[in-house]
Amino acid sequence: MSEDLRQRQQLLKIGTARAGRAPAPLAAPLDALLPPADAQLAEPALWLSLGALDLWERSGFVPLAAAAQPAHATAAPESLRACPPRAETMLALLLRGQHSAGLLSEWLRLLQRHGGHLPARFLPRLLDTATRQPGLRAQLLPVLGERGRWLAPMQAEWSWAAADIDTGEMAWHTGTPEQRLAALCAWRARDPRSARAALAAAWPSEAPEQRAALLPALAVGLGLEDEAFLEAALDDRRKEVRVAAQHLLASLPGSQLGQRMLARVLPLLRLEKPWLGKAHIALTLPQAYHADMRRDGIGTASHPGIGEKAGWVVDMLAAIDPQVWSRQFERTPRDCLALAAHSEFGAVLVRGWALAALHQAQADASPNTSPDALAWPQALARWWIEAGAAQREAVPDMLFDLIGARFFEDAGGASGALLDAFQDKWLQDGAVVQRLHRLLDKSAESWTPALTRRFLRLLQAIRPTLLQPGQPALARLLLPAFARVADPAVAAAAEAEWRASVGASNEWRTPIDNFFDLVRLRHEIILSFQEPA
Amino acid sequence: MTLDANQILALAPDPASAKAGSQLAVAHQWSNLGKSDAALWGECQGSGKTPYKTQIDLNGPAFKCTCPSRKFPCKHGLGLYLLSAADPALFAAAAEPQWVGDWLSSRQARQEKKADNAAAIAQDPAAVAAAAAQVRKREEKREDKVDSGMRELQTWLHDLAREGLAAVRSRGQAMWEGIAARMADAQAAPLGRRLRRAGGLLYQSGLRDADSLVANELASIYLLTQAWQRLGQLPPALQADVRALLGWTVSQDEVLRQPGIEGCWQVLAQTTFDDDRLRVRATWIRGGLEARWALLLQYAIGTQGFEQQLAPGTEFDGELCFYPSAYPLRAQLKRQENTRPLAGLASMPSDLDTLLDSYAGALAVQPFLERHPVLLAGLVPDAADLRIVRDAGGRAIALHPDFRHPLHLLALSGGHPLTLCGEWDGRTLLPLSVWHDGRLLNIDGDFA
Repeated sequence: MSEDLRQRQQLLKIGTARAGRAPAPLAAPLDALLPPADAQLAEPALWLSLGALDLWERSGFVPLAAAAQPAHATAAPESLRACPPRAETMLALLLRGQHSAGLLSEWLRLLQRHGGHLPARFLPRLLDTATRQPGLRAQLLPVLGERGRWLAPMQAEWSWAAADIDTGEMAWHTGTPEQRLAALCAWRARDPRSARAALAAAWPSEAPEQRAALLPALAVGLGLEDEAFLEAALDDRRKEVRVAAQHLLASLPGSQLGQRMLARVLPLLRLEKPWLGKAHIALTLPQAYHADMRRDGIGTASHPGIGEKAGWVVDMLAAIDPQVWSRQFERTPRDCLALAAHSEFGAVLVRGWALAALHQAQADASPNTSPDALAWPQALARWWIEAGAAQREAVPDMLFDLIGARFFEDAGGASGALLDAFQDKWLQDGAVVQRLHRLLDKSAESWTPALTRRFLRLLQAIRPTLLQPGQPALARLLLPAFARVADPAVAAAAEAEWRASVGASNEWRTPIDNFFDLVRLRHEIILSFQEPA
Repeated sequence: MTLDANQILALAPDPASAKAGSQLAVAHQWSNLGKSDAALWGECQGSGKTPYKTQIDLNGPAFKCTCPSRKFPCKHGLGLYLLSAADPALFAAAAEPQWVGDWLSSRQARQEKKADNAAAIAQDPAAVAAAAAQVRKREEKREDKVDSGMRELQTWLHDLAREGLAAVRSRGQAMWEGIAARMADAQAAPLGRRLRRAGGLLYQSGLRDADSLVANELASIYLLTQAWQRLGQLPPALQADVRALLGWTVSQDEVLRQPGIEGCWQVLAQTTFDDDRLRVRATWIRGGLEARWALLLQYAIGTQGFEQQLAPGTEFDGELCFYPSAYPLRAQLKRQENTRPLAGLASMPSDLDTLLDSYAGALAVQPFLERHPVLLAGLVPDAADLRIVRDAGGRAIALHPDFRHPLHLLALSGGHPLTLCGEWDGRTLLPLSVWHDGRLLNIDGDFA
């Protein structure tokens, strides 16, 4: 904007009355444009000269010449495959509509399986979405492609997606507490050893609350190499740091803390097989409380409904891999739980084993662990279903989330068997339906066709009841969640039969419609990746 | 020739229809599917007893369906079209059933009647004379009203200049509403809308140099009032522009009576926005022998769709008639057939210098020009300053403050040059679509 135009705009802002002057005459050649009559009066002259100068400038616009600017590197060509066009259309539809985030993460997983990268036009939107929903990041990162990794550093909020190691280390050294924690977790995922070394180097100079905040990052890629560092942290002066270290060691298979706990608890347990009556586990409560027990975290947590000394036993059991007990008693997890049922301290044993199963499952986040790892959680879930309301409290709800996350694997048919167990109770017991919903809701992948067929059969068996007005929770909770995990091809095949059984006027028309709409949409998404690219 | 799924979805009047339509694009929803050279048809079982009969005239494309939906095209039309794009084998070539044939021939008849009507009025001298007398009378009355309105507006602007914008700002929006209402009374409604919008800028937070924008807009309005007072001295074509800016409309029929321009037209950019209670769809198309630009404005009420289907990223053979103007851009579609996806850009994108030259030329003949279409190649979004793009020579071009997707541009470019279609206002560029990897992405819609 020229100085002349700016001054006239300034005059307009102040007003000719207050400024006490008329605008200066226009410079040549524009001066000839103003009619002499108007040029005399301040206000018309101001408006006309503003209009003329604006046009003059717009028609003679000169862009700023190139300043010496650092040339930004261009993005490298993609090494991943392109996204199939129909899948791209489906994504646009998902983003436009009100579909749940679950479908988005399924779409991203399918793209990763296809070996593809996100089309560039969706990158800003999805980086924003995953910034708000960190749960999506694991699915988004593998499909960002070269372009996405090039783009991520451009926005401060997207720094979690920036692959640049230097940026990560910089954040570790100079970032805010949250950024440092995120950087440390990312570093652990890349290189656990050097990340631990960095934490150890900074450890003495960290404030106590910082230590407590940073230590849980070691859960990423936790291994026996970390043990020495964690053992040292058990003697930290801050309680939160000690608790974090105890948790990590308790979930580390083969840790010395686990060995110590086993050494403490083994003398207290005895398998008894009386001639009359059932086999059971006899428990002798520990009598003395030592400083080394406190150091390992015994007696720090509270266990409602369980006495103090029995609580120590729960803490001991919680730090021991439950598979130890299958070996110790030479019984399957299910039979071990049956032993507990006939024991005086059954609730203590179940609670301890359940917490231990949770610890173990949290430590084996990697999907390649043996199917055995799920044997205890599955057995505990079945125990929970069959137990009475008062006993059930021994098993935390979180256990169902863990089973749900790996339910689709159906290792050794265990998932199917668990479904059958659910089915025995779900008509009478609302709590069972809620746990089943939790299990469906947390599923990380589509169920196998066989598992889907099985669940459909179970639903079909109770369909007359399901469709009655008295059973709204069952259909309202389970159908939407099941639509998100069912194998779409199998579920869609059941559509005609289900619809026929519902009829036109039934009040269940809407849930059933929604169920099949969602299933069909998922089916279409899967197909959209299958057509030849 | 059919469109691809993306372009079909762009025809939907709203996102809900797009979603519903794509869910209907499955074979088991349909029966009696068929196609001919001119049309597609099928029957879809809805909630009613008899299936809906849905048909598409492929030439247009134009839709008809027996369902009661007031959306247009309805979900059945979209679903049928999507199904044919996804699975053409489902549609056996067949003779058109009677209900399809009837509709196609009635469409044909209506088009011919449109042409006949125009011709008939032109040929009956008595009717022409009577109509002209009536029009003249109404015209004189309106001109009087506008006259006094313009005088009043000038006085208002003089007062504003005397008091100063800063002093006026404290009086709030009511003052602007007042003058806007006065302009509506004076039958110069478009000026009212511009004044209301200009006043709104003063109270919009986060807008840099609002004062400067308001000053320029008001000065342009002032020039317009002067132009009206000296209308007789202006070239006839520019008179038409001034009248249009003050609210005179030219009827669609009148425009369509003009000689049209034939050619292959490419739909390059589209925006949809609300103006009062109307939904307005502005579409930039380019084509003909001289690679002319044309702006098609369509209006719709509520959720109803627009009458003509123009999807960005398509091209068609057809005829356009331009509204009278010193720099004709706005046009009406007289004939549209053989719509197909865009194979490539027919006209070469220009560089910045050519754009600036043609813009100066345009302002010289039509100084009230609001927006000027551009197709610029070689633009690189600046990673350090998201408000600008740079041309091949590294010169900075500012993006319009209303542009909300600079990061999308950056993502598409990856640091490489882009070809943008948009509007240039003499200082800033408002990107509307991107030509990328052999396809057109319309920012309004394709940038999620």
